[in-house]
Amino acid sequence: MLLKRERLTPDTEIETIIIGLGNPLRRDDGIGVVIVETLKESSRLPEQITVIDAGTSDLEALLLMQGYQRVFLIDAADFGGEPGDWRCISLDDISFIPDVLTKYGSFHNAGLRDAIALGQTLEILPKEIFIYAIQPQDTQVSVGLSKPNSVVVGEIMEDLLLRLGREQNLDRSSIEQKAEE
Amino acid sequence: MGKDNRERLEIDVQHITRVEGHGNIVIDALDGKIKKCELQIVEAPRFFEAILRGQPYQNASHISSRICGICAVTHATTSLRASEKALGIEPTNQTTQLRKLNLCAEMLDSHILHAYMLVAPDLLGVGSVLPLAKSSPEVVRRALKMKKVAGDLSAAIGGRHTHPIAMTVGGFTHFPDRDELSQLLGRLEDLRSDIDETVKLFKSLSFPTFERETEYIALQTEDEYCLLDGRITSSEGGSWPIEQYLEVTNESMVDHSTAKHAQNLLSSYMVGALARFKLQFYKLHPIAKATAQSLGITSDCINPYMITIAQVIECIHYTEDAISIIEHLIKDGIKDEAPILPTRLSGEGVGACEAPRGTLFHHYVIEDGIITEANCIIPTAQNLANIEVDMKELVPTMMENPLDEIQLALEMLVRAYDPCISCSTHRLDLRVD
Repeated sequence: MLLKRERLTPDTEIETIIIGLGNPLRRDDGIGVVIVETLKESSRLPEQITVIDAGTSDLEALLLMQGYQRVFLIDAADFGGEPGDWRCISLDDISFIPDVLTKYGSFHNAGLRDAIALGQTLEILPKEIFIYAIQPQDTQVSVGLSKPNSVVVGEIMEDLLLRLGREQNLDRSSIEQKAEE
Repeated sequence: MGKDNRERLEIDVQHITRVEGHGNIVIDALDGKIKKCELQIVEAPRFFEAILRGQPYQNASHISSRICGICAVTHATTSLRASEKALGIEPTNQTTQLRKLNLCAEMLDSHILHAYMLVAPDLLGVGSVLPLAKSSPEVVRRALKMKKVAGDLSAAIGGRHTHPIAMTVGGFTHFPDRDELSQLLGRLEDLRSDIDETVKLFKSLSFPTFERETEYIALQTEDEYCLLDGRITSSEGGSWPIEQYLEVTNESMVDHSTAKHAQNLLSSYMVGALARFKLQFYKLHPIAKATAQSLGITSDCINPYMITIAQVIECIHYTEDAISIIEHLIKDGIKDEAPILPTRLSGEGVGACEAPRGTLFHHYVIEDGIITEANCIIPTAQNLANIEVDMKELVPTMMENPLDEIQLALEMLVRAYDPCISCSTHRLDLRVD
């Protein structure tokens, strides 16, 4: 799946943070945490990328993304898909954040929606925000992902790593181009 | 607003906003007599104890820290103390100091969130933090800046923001270095001016005046404003070892709540910032004590709306406490201590800490390194009965007020306790024979 928005990034190397959200004690609600923990172990993760498990603290996520230019949030979300379906949505592609995120239904008392709305009001959000939203099968209190969710962990990681590599190359070529000028 | 004359008062607030989790307020009063006055907890029970059973003791603190995204450090520390007591481990002074430092960070983080984001919008009449961010962005920016310092301090000690990973049974697996501590010390010293501004803000706000005598419970130690261990103490004169927590909490089920209600010497009791403030006023840092005087609150305060003011005063105390602990750690030098190993692999232990919302207990039975029984009693569960008794006394005093005023007063009362409903619901323990 490609990003809807494919364009050259700004002329400085973009500082990027990846934040996993959710509660691993509520099965698929914890997929964001599982993905970031797996990502941290990956040798392909670019060194300069910050990866953080913020658990269920959406306000903490807002504080963590401050100062970065690009954030990838990974979270379970009910968007009416089949269990294991996932989307990567750019915040720029969402016209009405509160309505859309209500529809996308974060499991943390819409805390992420509120945190993003607060960040927008205070103008402290990174320029680029992407949300990986994964449709859960089971969010009861228990540990371990459901099968439909566990099988997409690798797929999402691959998508994210490809995206990071590709965008870093774009960043680099943009910087090199600037230097040549 | 004018007074309303009414025979019947019915209030039904579904999903109180600006609290963690889902709760409803239901009031039905006729001719001044209350027929129904309930804080209904409708959140699905969360079977955390069931998850802990069967787990190696080493996993318990990491699992516990996920019970709550706000009190993760307190849950983790309380869990560690329960396991350590069960397995005969006495942590070193450095370990205890680092844990206290992380608890200070969590108190600051949670109190700032509650005072600025959840309570201040009511008192400023702006409905929520979003309009406040529009009308007074500098106020919300200050709150976020303070929260960031607390969060970064917690990450330096616990090895991770929100859910600590370096805290383990018997000690720590990672230590902050001198430079990190020095930097945090500087940021905490800078925080003093933000706290001064916070005091000014809350001094300028007018809190509802409602007073009711009740029982106040908090942990206490001889020599300091207690964060962990110590004894359970009551404003009614009792004192119990932590191991006898069940004699204090006396939890019972109620029909309208998925969380239990607690009761000790009176019909209900309060835990949290105001209870700690009242019971240990003389142990507060001198600056915190002086500020209490300037804010017009004394240890005689029995107004639950003033919990927020007690939290503001605690912010001063915990900042000064954190500064003092870091100064000592820098002076003594952080030692790379290996975690202390258990002297046995089977036993029973109770851990207790003061969480932002009050006293938290974890009780484990461990057999051959595996947790076989677990019980967690959360501060909010202990406060629920007290909130309901408050509501029952508050409503008759407001019968002639406009309905929206009564509703707001009740919602503000519930919010004052800073309830964390999501982690307080744990009533069911199903067995299928």
